[in-house]
Amino acid sequence: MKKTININLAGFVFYIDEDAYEALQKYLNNIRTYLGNTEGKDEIIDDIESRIAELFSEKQKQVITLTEVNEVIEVMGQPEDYMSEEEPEEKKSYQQSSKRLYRDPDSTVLGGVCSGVGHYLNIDAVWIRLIFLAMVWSGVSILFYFILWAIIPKAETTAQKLEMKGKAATFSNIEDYVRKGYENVKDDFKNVDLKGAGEKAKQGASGFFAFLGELISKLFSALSKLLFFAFLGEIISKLFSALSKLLSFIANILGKLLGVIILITTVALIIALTVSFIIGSFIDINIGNDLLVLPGFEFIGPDWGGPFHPIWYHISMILTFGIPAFSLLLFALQLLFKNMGRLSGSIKIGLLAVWMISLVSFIILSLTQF
Amino acid sequence: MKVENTKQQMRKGILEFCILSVLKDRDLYASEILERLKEARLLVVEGTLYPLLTRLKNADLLQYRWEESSSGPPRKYYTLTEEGTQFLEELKSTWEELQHAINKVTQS
Repeated sequence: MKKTININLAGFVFYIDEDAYEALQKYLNNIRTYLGNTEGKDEIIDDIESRIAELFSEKQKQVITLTEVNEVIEVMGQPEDYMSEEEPEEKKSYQQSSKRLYRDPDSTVLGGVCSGVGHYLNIDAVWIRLIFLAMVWSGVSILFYFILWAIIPKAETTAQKLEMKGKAATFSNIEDYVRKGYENVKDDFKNVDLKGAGEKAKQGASGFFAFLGELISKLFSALSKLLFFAFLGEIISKLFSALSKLLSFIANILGKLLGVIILITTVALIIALTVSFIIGSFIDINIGNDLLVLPGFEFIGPDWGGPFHPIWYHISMILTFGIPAFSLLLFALQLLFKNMGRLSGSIKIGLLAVWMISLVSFIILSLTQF
Repeated sequence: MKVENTKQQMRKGILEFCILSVLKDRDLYASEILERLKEARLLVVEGTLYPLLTRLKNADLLQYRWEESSSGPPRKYYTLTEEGTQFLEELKSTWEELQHAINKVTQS
């Protein structure tokens, strides 16, 4: 037994199975997506619907089932077949178009500038945001951000979003993209409790310079058009784009170098921490009886390691410095090796919580110690 | 390079010419045009026709009128316009030249 739906195709009423309806709906939507902004799109769709209605009525069935729908789709052809005759040169330029700089409306903090730049440079948006944040003190980056917000267009259509990520806007890509979006939403619902503050240590530092190069070449080509020096501008912008490729290569190496530096620093830091912890323990074993005992808390003796025992001081100290050192180490490794494993969100949140607790205890215990 | 693709390209190039040709003598609606083209194996799937018809119509080479149908939805009957007839004539002479040229090249 199946549920049927009433549909109106070109003014005719059909009874259609629910699954068949979904298949037909998907098919028509695909065609619609595929036709994009083709002139007379609505008319084409009307013609197609009317032809489908005709095919259905020829079948003279009480209920349209999935079999009929599939037969009709076979006769009508896949969405790609509809376009193949449409302005081939336009389609070609679509496929050739590589990446474009857009703002990403799907993952924004403010205007989606950073994530758009991230897509363009093929690195995680977190990096771009960090760079912007790091430059806030100079005051330039805020102004810079708003300028970028104003001049970079937002990726609104699916085709633009694909262009933003550097994929050709072919039909199967669009379908892929839409399906991925759907799955992301599903995953979001599943992971809703895990999604949190500690979620964002990712890898891939490269190409800020490439972005600068692109920006300069964009500015330059705009300027040159304004001055009717299009030819000159073309050459210079070509030059800049070559330069930006070189810079992106250099930036890639710089990213690795940064990783090595952070790695060395972190290892040194960890060694220093360990050494100071060991030495500190020795000192404290010697002065261990010299504890500060708060009035009213005299029963907390040093013998059983109460809350003010030096061991807690040390543990909180080691955690306060150790956790950032550990994260830094992980970060450096991720910079160096793209496929490094990552901590899950819950572990990150746990670490963050532990770190905050130890930071507070460390501060309090430091104050009570001295 | 696949032979199927090339075949398809060849077919598509002359599709407009064929549509105009089948409409030369009498007015037809989409399904009849389809039938004629499918008979001649010029079309593999029907979907290709609709964007083409709309484009030819927007280029003022075709126009259509609605006619009621006893068995299905109302039908769009397509007619060649004045311009369409001229266009067809030009395509036809080009086609004949091409045919001649191809015969000459392939047979020598």
